Amino acid sequence: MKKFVLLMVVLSLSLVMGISAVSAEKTIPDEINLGMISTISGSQAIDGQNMTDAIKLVQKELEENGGLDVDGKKVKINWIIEDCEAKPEIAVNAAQKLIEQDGVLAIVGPNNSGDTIASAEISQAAKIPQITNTGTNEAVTKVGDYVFRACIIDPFQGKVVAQFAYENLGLRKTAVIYDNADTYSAGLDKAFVDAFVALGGEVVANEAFSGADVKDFSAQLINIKNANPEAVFVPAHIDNIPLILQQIRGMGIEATLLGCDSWDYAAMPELVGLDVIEGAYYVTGFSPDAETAADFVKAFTDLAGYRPSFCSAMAYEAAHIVLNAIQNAETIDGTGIRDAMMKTELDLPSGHVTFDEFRNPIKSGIILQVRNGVAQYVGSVSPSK
Amino acid sequence: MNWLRKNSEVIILPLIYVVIFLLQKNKILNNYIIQIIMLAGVNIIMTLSLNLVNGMTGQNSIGHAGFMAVGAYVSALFSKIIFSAATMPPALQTVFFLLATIAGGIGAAIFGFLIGMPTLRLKGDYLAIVTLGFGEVIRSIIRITPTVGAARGLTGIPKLASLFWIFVFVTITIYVCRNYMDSAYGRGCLAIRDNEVAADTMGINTSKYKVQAFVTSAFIAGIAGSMYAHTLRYLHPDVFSYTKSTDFLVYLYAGGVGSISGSILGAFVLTALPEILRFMNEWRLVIYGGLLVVIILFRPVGMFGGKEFAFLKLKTGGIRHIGFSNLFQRKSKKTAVANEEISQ
Amino acid sequence: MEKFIQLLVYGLQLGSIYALLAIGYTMVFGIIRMINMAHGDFLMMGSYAVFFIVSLFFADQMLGPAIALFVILASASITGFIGVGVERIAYKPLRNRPKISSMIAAIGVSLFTQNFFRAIPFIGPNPRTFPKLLKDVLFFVGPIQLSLVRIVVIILSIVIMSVLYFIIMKTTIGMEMRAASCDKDASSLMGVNVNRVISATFFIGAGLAAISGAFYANNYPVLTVTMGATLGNKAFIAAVIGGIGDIRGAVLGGFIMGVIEIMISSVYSELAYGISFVVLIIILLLKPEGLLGKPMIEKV
Repeated sequence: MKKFVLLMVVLSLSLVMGISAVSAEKTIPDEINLGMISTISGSQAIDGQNMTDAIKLVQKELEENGGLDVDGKKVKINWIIEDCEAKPEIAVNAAQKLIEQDGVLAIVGPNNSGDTIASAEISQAAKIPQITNTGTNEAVTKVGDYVFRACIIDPFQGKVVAQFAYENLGLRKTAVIYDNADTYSAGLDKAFVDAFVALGGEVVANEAFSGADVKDFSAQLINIKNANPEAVFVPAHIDNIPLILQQIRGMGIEATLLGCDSWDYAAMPELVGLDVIEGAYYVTGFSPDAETAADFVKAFTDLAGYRPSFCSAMAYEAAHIVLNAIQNAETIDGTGIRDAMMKTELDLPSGHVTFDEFRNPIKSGIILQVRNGVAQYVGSVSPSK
Repeated sequence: MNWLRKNSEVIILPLIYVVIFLLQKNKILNNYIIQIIMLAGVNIIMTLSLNLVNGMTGQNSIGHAGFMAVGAYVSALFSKIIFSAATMPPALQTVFFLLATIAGGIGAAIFGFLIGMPTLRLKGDYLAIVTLGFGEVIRSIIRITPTVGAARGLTGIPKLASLFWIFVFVTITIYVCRNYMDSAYGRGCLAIRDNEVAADTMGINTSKYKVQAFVTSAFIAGIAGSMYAHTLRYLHPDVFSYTKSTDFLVYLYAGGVGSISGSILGAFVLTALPEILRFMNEWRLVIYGGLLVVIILFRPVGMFGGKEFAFLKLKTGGIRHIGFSNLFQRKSKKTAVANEEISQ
Repeated sequence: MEKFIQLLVYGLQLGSIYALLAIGYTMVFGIIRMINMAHGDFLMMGSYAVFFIVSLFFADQMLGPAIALFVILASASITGFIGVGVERIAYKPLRNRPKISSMIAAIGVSLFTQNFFRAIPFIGPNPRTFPKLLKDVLFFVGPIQLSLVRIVVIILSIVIMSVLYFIIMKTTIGMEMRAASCDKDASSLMGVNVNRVISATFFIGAGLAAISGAFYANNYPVLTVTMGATLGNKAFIAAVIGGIGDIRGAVLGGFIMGVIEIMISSVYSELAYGISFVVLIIILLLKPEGLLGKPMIEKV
């Protein structure tokens, strides 16, 4: 009996020690560790790749400068990238690991609202600023005052699409097909429907499907077809968008296609089919055609071999917001960086960025239209409107 | 004293807790490791719950995350929405946390009963499909229920679970499972697992025993759900997807089905493994999948199959080796006979 | 009524793919009683195989039906051999173990393949566009809209199922399969090479998964490494609904799954997924042995 108690204690000790021995590097004063969490595996692995490439670009820029210039001293920045598998509890683990073992001073990501909400609880408690690149759900920054985002929020995005459809395109009857299992998709659906009805339009069909695994939308689309809308809004993720759009056209629905920032991948027109997506409009927070973005787009394309998506652009911006805050911070710690981030005044690829008191960036929504297989700038809608 | 000797887990687990607590106080263990241990604790409770059904009673539940979801949502509903425990004084918080946890367990147990009643009368793999379906149905319902946040997920659940409470519930679960296995009910379940027809002939009310084990298991899963909700503070229906159920199956079978030690070890090691593999970056889940196959190939009964840690050995002894060496042979013959009947 | 028939057509289209996948499932299950969680991944491998064959050898060409058929068969045999290999490495050592051990091995295989495919650079996490094997033509019969490709898929599925049924009922290997599914030990004593039979089963099962993958990807032309995950589950349920171990049952179950899914989505899309499972569970509770399965008699 005694022997086993002893054995158990020794065993558990050694197990626990075994884990703790894996890492725990000391932060050298002239080096700063920064973390990035993203969905490297799982069904949204494409975002993980986009973000990793964005961080690689940031790192390359830093290396060319010989480090980050803080008050004349070159500081070496180490980026530590962790996978969250698109699972909230793994995101929490990743955030804990970054904060506790790697001693990061700020975290970029994750790309999902759900993962961000879960992991932000950790960084909030540890007073480490976290900035999500594409966590567009309203609740994200409500976790606490250390949580930021680099993108526009769902309600605003939905409103921009509704406003653009109603006022600029003159549409009165629209339909929506959305994923009711997905935070992002369901949030945009609600925002769009509310805004469009408030403007005086009519949403003739609001159809849901459940989960990214659904590949056949015939049943939903036949309802949409019978309702005969002038436009169909498709807030979905990249693994569904091509299929939905193809099936919309395949069913002979000729309505205008409307989308949101999840459409913003360079490969999207090719993936959907050029004839299908031609003429579609979508709103996003970043236009690769903008003058301010030219350098970034070129550098990113050279490095990664494809044009930056919204996701990678936002990861790049989030990283720069953090780096800029480190330069301006009064003390180089979580609180100092957070305070400096609140005062961000920075020119980034998507334009001039500042934060409002809820730590959401004040940015305009950009409308793009796919013409000849390339998304082109149509106009922008500013938040005050 | 005699009781303590027989139920040594009630001494050893608190001891481990004290050790971890001291290490945490002295900054040897950081929050990251504590977080993993807490998550492992939740997974251990779930795996033990699954062991009651799959390991002891020989039934196949492959959608156990559904019960966890019920427990998580019911308890979060209780502590966040009905009683907003976050604003209470600490002592009252603890009371409401325990009440919420029990409510979660009862909620899950009710669903367990509703599912077990009709299904467990049938023989074969029906429980597998029905539990699989149940998990999906529960998720669909949560998705469209605005009270619990629908597809947005439920945020702001008060952080009431701590390492201490998780240890308390792990200890209770181990205690309950061991004694269940050692009781007449447990023996009945083991008999059903080893040969259902024979058990029936011997006068065991097989449906009743199976439903009892299943409902108990659902209750424990509900408790694990409550721990999960109050640790993570965020719930989303997709967390409790089919993949989650598979995780627990993997913990159970890689650890050693039917063995309490195996369940504990499997859940702990396989929760920690993907974290230890973090240095592999994008290859980490590749390695994890590969290792899983290797474990099953080299130890088909799991790491601890058919064995127990000494302190978790069955109290009455004697029956311990039943099944594990001969059971499989017998079972495959039994199914071969059954095959004859269904094939054309 | 028009809408009902239209939905029925869509349901049958979706169901034909489930049916093809369910056949492979039911064959493997019928013979070695194993829930092959990695079956959906064979579908994924099959459609990637088609993708790579087409982009390597027939880039930017419109394939004729003959070449398309050849490509599909080629990728089916590639996947078939992978299936046999997987069985030899990961499942065979567990054959005399409880079925659930091999199910866990299958989960491992599935985790491994999905993440391996994602991690190797030339496949990667980006979704791929599946090449159009056949040019689609839409036409109307009265008010009902039909798509040529989908009709071809339904017909091909039925043809393949009949061929398979013939193989199993009339050929020697089919007879051996049936014998092995009755009693492995006894059939082994009677001179049946059980290893060969199981390999053949896996070859056919994985090959069929690849074919359904090709059809599936032709209808829903986006390839991702996780595409097979839930499809495998649906096929499993379809196989059980129809009566596990019975090929005709698998086909019936597949069509029923497809039709139910589409019908319910059309009426109440918010809860469709859940309700279709409830319907399936009810069918199962009313007829536990499956629609075409014979009641099991248990002996000691």
